[in-house]
Amino acid sequence: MAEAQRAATFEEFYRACFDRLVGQLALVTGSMAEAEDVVQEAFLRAAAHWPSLCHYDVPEQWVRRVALRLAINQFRRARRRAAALVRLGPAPVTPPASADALVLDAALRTLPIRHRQVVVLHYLLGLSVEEIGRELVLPVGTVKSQLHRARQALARQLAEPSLEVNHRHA
Amino acid sequence: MRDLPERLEELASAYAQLASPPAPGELRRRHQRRQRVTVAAWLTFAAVLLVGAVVAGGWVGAVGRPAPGPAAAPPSTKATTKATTPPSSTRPPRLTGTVTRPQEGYRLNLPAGWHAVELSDPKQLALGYGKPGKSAVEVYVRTALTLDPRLTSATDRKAAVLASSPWGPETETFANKPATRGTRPDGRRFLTIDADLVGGGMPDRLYQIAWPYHCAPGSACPAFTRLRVLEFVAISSKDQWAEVRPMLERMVANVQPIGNALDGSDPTHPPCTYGRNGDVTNPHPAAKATSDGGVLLQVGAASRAGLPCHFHGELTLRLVDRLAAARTTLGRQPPLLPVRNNGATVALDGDLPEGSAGSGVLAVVWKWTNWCGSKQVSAQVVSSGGDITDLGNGRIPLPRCTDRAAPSILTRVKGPG
Repeated sequence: MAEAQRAATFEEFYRACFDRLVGQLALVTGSMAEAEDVVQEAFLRAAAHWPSLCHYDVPEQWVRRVALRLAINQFRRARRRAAALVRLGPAPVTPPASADALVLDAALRTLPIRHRQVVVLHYLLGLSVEEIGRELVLPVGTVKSQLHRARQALARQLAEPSLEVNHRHA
Repeated sequence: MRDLPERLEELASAYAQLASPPAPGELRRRHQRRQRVTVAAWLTFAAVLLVGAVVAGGWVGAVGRPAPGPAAAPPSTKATTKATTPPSSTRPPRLTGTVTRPQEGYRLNLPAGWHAVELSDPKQLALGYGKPGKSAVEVYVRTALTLDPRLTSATDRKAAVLASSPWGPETETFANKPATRGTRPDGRRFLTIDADLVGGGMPDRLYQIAWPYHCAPGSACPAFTRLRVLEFVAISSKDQWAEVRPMLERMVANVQPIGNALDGSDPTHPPCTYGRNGDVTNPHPAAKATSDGGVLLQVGAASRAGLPCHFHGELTLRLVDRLAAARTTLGRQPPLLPVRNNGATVALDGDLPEGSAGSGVLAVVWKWTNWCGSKQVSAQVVSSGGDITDLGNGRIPLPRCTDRAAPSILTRVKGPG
């Protein structure tokens, strides 16, 4: 593939996937700015590997995996820093969603980031527990228990014991 | 109740709509910046080691101690510091006495010994106590949005579609935290929350006062404005906390509502801030093809969240090669494409009214015709403050090539003279 054509396909890929990945990562990181940051960083790495990545069936999956790992690292870094730095930054961006959705957003943010990851991968992206295990390099049992705890915590937060979660299976 | 995947989908889509991918060139610039920072960090580290060695005398001792006199200058890091953005040398002024913030709707009388500093985020103000620069307490005053049932009514929360709220939700951190409730003499409810922002036993406290935004009668006012709170976030050293806390609590009790925080008042029009997190952004649609083969480009300011403000500024429309723009290094402008009137600047001045997002627009429209050049074109709007917006998210339709011998032209077709 010629250099120019390769650059063009990367740009197309970048423009097509950026927003979607930020949407998914915002739910994981709990912060729009952080989500944009990790997704940008992941694309930066994807650009460096694009000659081989462009032959992948779903290069977006590679970028998401990198972004998810970065989100964890980012989270650790952020936690080590004074939490106040995060708190005292600019006001977080509000998504144009209903109050109902924002209540879920708030509930998600109370979960540990690992739990948020499995919730997003399972319920939003429809990955099976085995696929999540491969994605996050975790044993299947761990994924199952994290999903279970996350679901319980969400139900408590949303004060809905009968939270409809409709399991997805691959 | 909708199921979890559906609700997650709504939320993820909402965030995705807000995302704005930086131009691909920005990725490259970011990479370059990081490389420079790394190089600068290593050079600084090396310089520190060198200075440390000199001070310790080990290295100097081997070659002979220098004669007494001015200390030798550390190794120059000019080459690296030049490449990074130099810190601004102008410090924002320190305010004392009474601070008035019309857009946030408050007037604050600072007690003796306190000062305030404006921050780049227009919604925040930093307070300090004691000697400037040595304050052992930091207080941030800002407006925010809350869904906390202790400060807002169920009806207001239900009605609020939080599209483009400029305040952002605070529920993620504090709605579940225990708080002491209070009521100010004017009847406004407030919460005192020991937020544990910093950890390590350092005193920190958050005060949230119900500070609903009151819209002018008859305006199309977003419902989320009723969920506004005024916050004081305080972090202090243990030594000073006992001294500053009563003063802080007096400020929380006495901060006065003005303008939009009062019922029935006329909305004020403080200066608009332009750009991604500002009050205004470029209006939609930014670019549109016409049936005669031309392209209309709209350049201006549109209210993001329906808060009234006064826009005064210059906006420059630049048509540039997209790939050249992507390759351009930080702080430089890519060359303009050969289009008559390309790079023209328009001055805009006017009030943007209260209302829902996009209800206030101040704009000029340019018509671009006859383009026979490259298809890789970006239309950038550069504000007098230096913000750059790529129209159409970096992709705009291009005019039809009608005559290769004739020039390509931008003509102003609509807007303030």
